[in-house]
Amino acid sequence: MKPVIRISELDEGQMCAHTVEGVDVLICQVEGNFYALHNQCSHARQKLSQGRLRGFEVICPLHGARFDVRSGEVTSAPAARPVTSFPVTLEGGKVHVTLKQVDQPARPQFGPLN
Amino acid sequence: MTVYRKIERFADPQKSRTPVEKMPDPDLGHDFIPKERYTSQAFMAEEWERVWTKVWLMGAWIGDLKNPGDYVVTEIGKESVVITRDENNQFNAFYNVCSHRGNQVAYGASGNTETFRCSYHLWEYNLRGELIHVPDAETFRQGAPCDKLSIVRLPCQAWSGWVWFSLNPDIEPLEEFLGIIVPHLNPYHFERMQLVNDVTVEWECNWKTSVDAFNETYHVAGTHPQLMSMLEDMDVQIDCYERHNRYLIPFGCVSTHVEDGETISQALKNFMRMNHLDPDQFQGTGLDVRRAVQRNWRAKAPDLGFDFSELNDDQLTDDYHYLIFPNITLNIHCNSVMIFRQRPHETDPNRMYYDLQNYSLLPPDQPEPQRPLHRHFKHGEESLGEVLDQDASNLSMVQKGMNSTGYRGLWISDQELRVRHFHKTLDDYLHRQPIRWMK
Repeated sequence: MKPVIRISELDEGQMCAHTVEGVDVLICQVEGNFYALHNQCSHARQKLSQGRLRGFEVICPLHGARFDVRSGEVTSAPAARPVTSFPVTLEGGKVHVTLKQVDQPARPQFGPLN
Repeated sequence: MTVYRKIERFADPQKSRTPVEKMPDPDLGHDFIPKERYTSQAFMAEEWERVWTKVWLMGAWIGDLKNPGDYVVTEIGKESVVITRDENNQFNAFYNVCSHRGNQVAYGASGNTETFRCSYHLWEYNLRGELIHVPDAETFRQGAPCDKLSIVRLPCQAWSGWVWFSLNPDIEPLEEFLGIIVPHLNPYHFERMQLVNDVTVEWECNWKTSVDAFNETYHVAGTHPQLMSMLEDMDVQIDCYERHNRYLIPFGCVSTHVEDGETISQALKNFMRMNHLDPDQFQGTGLDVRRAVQRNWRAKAPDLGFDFSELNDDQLTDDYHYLIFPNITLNIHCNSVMIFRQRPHETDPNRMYYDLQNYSLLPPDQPEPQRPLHRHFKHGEESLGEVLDQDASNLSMVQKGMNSTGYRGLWISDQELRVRHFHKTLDDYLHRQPIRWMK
């Protein structure tokens, strides 16, 4: 569990990105709750923090894929795979994130295009 | 469009066995390519009559036909075709249909057998499709003469690693149809490669939507931004030949669209590792990687048991990417080839079968691997890897666009010249025009 930002740093309906132990983490506040995702679209690796947050959905700026910030699940194509979601804990006025292994882009079993 | 650098080409084109001279671009006009060809039942029927039943088609990997009695069943449109190796080591192709009541005679995708016995009434055929036994033949008052009721045979020839067949009994010899493909690609020796991946995916698009998707690099920046740190998408040599076409995509370099060509990305490091060059020991910048990988292959290939002596230096890194008209897309590297065989659906112009096969050159001391199991699934049920998933995610949406009243047709850039050339060749077949050699 790593403290990342102060609760007071992020307003309702906003998101921000921070690197935590080498992992690019997106933090969002929606309806008073905080959520954390891997800050990389599962479709073409775009930083989701450069996109928009609409309700519980984060929208990728490149191709418009959408993810539910509560779970990382895809809510709209062209992404087909979820984004890794990290557990969040609020403690001592700070937002803490528990890191875990992030899902890597789908690798081809063969060929040079990886 | 900003292009920051130029890609260096193989310095001595005369020495390349695979011709590398740039062909003059044909003038194919600049009009819309009509969209109806992707959606119309009538157009699909014309394609069947004038294209699919007139060309050579890739039928089977020879690795599946090593022994007498081996057979492969392949499907094209409404037809099922059996390809065999007979007792005399000759390849044969014939319709997969019993002359009696129309049942199929070969079951499953492949196997080994001495004869094909129909499951309905046990009519029996040899490996050449000749009828050899009819149970209770005397009850056919009109006769059931074996020599008149053999299965209709099809032209069948081998080139490189594959057996090809045609539904056209009068077709020209395979080598003539393949034309430039034979001298261009023989130096790769595909017959030495092993099949390592074998998949069929049902896609919700016309077969040409898929052919087009892989026939231009204009889509790299939009669809595959992550590849711009490891390959070139702009300075790509395009060559259009009689029926077939190609482009040569430099690999192992940062796209000239990207201002910083020096930083070595993770993707470029992975490419170096795949090519036996240790990125952690590497002294140069991103601008030096492509040549370094080429020199490295030259130095290490003999020790690794690979013979690349017939390939030029650029072939040691780059993707020599060919389209064999009408439906075979090849991504060719010195030690691998990835093939897309695009097949039309039997009845629906909005659907197709995408056959993906990967072949690899394996070190000679490595035991021959087990043949991979063929997998067949619908789009989205399994991943094809990040890059092909990105391509696939566009296709059903593009197909919907082809069906839209609001879409005008394809408006094509010079970067997409191969798309236009492919459709021009298709038009020549449809209108029964002689195929012109364009210079």
